Amino acid sequence: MTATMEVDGLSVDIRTPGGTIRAVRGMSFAVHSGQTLALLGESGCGKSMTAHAVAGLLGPVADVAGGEVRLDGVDVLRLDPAARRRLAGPGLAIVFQDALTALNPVYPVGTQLAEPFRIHEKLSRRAARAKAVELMERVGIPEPRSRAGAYPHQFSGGMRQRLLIAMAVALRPAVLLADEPTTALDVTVQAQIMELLAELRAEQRMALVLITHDLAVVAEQADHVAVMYAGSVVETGPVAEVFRAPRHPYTRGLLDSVPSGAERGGRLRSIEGSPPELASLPAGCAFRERCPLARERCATERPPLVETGTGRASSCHYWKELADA
Amino acid sequence: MPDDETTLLEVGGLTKTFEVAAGASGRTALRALDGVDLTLGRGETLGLVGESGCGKSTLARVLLLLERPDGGHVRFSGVDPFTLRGKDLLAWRRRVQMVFQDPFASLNPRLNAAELIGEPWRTHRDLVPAGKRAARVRELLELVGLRAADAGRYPQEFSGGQRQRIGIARALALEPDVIVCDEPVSALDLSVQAQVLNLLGDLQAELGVSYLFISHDLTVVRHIADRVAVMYLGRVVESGPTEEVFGSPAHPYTAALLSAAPSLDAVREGGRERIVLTGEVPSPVDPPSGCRFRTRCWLAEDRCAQVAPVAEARPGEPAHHAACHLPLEPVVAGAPR
Repeated sequence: MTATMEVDGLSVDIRTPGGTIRAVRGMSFAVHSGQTLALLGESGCGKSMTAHAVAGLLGPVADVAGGEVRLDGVDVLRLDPAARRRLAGPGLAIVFQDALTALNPVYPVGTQLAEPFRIHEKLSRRAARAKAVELMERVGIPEPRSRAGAYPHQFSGGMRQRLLIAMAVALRPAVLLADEPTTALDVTVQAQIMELLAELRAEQRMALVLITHDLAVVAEQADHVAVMYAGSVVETGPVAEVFRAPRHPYTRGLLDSVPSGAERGGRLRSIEGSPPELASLPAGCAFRERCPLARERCATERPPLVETGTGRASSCHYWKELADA
Repeated sequence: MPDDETTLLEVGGLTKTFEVAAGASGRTALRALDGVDLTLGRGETLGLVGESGCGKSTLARVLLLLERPDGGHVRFSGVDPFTLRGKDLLAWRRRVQMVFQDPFASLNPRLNAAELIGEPWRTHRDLVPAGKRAARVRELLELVGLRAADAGRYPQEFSGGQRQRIGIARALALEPDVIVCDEPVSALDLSVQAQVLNLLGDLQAELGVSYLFISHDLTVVRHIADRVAVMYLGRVVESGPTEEVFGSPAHPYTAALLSAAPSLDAVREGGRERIVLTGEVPSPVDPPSGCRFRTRCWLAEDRCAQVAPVAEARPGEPAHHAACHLPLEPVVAGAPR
């Protein structure tokens, strides 16, 4: 199966007053149409930065320092700005975490939802508006015809997230990036939004990249997972296999940190310490200072992401010890 | 449920209404607490769960005496703290402390760790003699897993997990009987969250402190709480021992909440039937009549709109209460969920 989108060796630098920091250090992953890939990692691991680089939305102080993002074989990072903009919508679309700041407060939502149709499909105002109402209905907004004239602040958090999803899928993108789409929402609403995303993915045969810090969300929603630590992928593979038998000590540490109903009240096996500062990463393996398996080689040699089985890879020198255990 | 001997805190029929702006038409009443009953035992952890707007933070603020309730009573070791004045009130305040959600916003960046931890003693002067304060700060730092040498460092020099440890040390400085923990780990990364949960457990075993643990994360509450109370639109809809409530919920809302929450356990056990509720929590300004949950409940009948259900114990589970006309049957152990 060919990948719809392949990210290969992507690096992103951030310029700070204290010097340049490499926030994304050689990220590689692939996602297929109709499937969900989860980018899993803790705060500061570079998962949002990766999504923004892929979508061409890096801020003024961040630059792509290397790598390729191939969409159906074409490297979108090499496209000129106009060609890149034409892709935003039909090629790649993004759903942001905070739906209130992502919507424009001074335009009615119907106008904002009609915009992609006006710009990309050159539809008339009336036709675009009709499409917008249709979309609102599809994502489950009650009374879409009358609500199209309402402003973002007149909607609840869950409804705003539906609007944002509607806007992102309006032009049937090949790849949808969803950056923590449910973290700001209540649990019962979260479940509704995840269900909507899964339906749309199946309906439109989209490739969905789900960016999250929540292991349970990954377990329930994703086909494949790429676990990130300090700006790169440390382990990747089918979710069920990775979660059943992790082949990187960081993945294992994360899984052990989740309270389990079976051992209520007992001690949780946490990972010692906290994630490293990107400005002062240790030499060799970035995880070694927190790693129970670390030895001398880890301090000098940065472990590459190597294949450990069909569709699985790990960047640990000693992954075999985990696999055999 | 704790008996009279061990009950530390008891709340009955608590109501609290706020006046809120209602657009051009003037002001309207928002009933944040609508008859809340709770008890908290000595050395116990009570988990308080519910979605945003359910009243859990208002309840915490009432217990900290930051809000005066409109009705109902609060008894702390048998005394109503709202009747206290002067010295007695000050002494009472020492006994209930708080750990906040956001360790990045709740610590003054201009104070170092020692000053942050010792600051409460400037109000409660008699608790630790001036000559012993520096030593006590070092003890507290070590108690929460930091180093005594960290005393001179400022908040921005610590990671999120370390900052939350400082917040916990600061709460412990007054040797409280109860700590209200408002989402204490939700701002922390998973690997660090586990460290802080372990610390809270160790401190309780060592000091016998009680926790009111407010969280939206059911996995965390299930891990740490002895008993749990589930709130919906200002009312406690279900309460009881954690395993009875989470293992076999009686109220449909609890069942839906548990089913909606993403869970690794559930995936490991081979999936489950998910209840996805329609709609969102109604506005507390204009709550539904009768049972507050009826507009989203798949079991609701006519009487649910007419009569507000009162909390009743489930047969065979005397400490497990639910306020529902049509409570769910107990789940038989071992049966698939």
